[in-house]
Amino acid sequence: MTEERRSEAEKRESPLITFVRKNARYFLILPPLIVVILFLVVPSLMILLLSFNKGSVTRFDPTKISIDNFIAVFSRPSTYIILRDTLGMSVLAALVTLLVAYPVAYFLSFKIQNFQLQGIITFMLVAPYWVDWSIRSISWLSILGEKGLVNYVLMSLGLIKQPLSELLFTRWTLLIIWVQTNLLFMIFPIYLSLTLIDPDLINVARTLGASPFKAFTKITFRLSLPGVVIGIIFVFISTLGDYVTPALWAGGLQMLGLTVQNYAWHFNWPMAAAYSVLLLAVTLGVIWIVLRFANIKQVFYK
Amino acid sequence: MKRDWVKIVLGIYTVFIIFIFYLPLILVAILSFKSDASITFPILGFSLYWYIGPPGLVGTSGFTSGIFYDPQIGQAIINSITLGVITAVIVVPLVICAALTLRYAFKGRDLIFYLLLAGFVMPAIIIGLGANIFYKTIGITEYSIWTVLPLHIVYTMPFGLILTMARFDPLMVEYENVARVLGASGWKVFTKITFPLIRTQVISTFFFAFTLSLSEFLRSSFVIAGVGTIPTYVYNQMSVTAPTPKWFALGTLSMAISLTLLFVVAYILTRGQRRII
Repeated sequence: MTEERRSEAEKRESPLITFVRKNARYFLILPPLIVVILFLVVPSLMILLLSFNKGSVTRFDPTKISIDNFIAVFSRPSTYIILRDTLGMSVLAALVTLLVAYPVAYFLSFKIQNFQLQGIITFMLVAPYWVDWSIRSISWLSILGEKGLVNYVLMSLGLIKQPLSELLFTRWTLLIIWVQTNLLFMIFPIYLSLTLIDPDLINVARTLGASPFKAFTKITFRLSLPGVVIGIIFVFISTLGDYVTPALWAGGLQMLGLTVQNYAWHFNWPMAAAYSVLLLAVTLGVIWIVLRFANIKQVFYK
Repeated sequence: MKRDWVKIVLGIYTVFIIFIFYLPLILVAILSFKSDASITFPILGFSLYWYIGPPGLVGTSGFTSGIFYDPQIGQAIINSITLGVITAVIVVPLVICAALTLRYAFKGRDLIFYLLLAGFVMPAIIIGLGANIFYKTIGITEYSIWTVLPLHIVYTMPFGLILTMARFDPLMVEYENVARVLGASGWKVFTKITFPLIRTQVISTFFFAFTLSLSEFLRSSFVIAGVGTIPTYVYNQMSVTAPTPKWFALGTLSMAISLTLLFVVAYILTRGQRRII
């Protein structure tokens, strides 16, 4: 009875309304999609367009298209040095962060059964991020500076006579700060993918005679790869796009993000846009390579 | 009984990492009570000047005052919290919409999924520069926290989406279908079945969005003017004057407030013995 009534009502509807009603659950995607297209896709396309202009224009002028910016970018030897340093430092930061973060994530997910304790440790790791970024940034001056904690302690103990001046403003300072600031975003995805592993898989492997080390490398680590890959991508992106930490602490090391910011600072928007396109290409290239190692989608689509 | 040495070693290591996490913050807290104007060692004396000191000349750092005498800090705090809360309030429903739709297979799902994650993949400087060029092109030149808001939304949304989708229960759609067959309306299915199942993820999304927005500088600085948020205000101040313990006082204060808040949230979340993510 109700079935008949429903089908009659359906016949009277206009096709458009039928389409909307039948696909209603897919229309929920529109609000987030529109926000992303408007504030991410459109601005990126504007950067791309502007990179084909010249001079001090601030908005795209279709009458003055040229590829001079890109010729300038690729003909400079400095571009290749910048690329090498940027990629080198980002890769190093990602790998060191992974090495530091993995044991913490492993400990959290496998060695602590008490959810309350898990929660407390997680929140202890999150809490420092609530202290302002710029304040955390200058605090390094108090730690590694000429009159900072490290030098102060070493001199008090009589281990050194003169303060070590090379603690600050080298690429190693940059590395330490990057690892410390990105650690949480490496720990979280790995922890997440480790908690999704069925412990029986490891138990079975152990029962069948695999050593703990072999069980770890063959099962645990492989199954946590999606988390590892997400963490690595995060560190890559946050370090590739960072233009302040290198400027403050790297002692004149030129980076891609810094180069973009320098041009923007001097109102050469088209050159800034051209270097941005290069930066985006590098970023996407790196992500593409990293994604070869794991199927990220399987974590999300079930 | 055999001791779990792996557990002991990893436990000590984790405590060490947490110590490294907190070392800068402990220093910030200690140095904020210094009586002189430098942010380095040794500490010659303690005072509350950088909190409640009246405006005046201190050492070589010029004209300065404690944080309670700086009206712009108050403004920056209000701006930051307003921006963070509004970002989180908008991001949560957007994430729910996206996550619920992406459970179903449909044409273009991969593309949409990647697009929604783009805010996470785009280097910060490109989002900032792009927004700056975008606003100029459409004729917006008055920058404020409202011009920053869309950037914070696209930046924090992917984190919420990842958190929510990674913890989805594969049986969720089944439960929903059962409720629907039994005659529940679409809204009722959402409020009685779907939402309770993803409640923890929703709360995590809210706090992640708020936290990320609060300390975001790299994207905001391209499209903000005036006092701005705490990070942009502090950064701009530090680029004109030498850093003083005043900023550490601000950091200590925000740390005290946020730790209190976090413990309240942690208590609420872990009360039901749930995983927090």
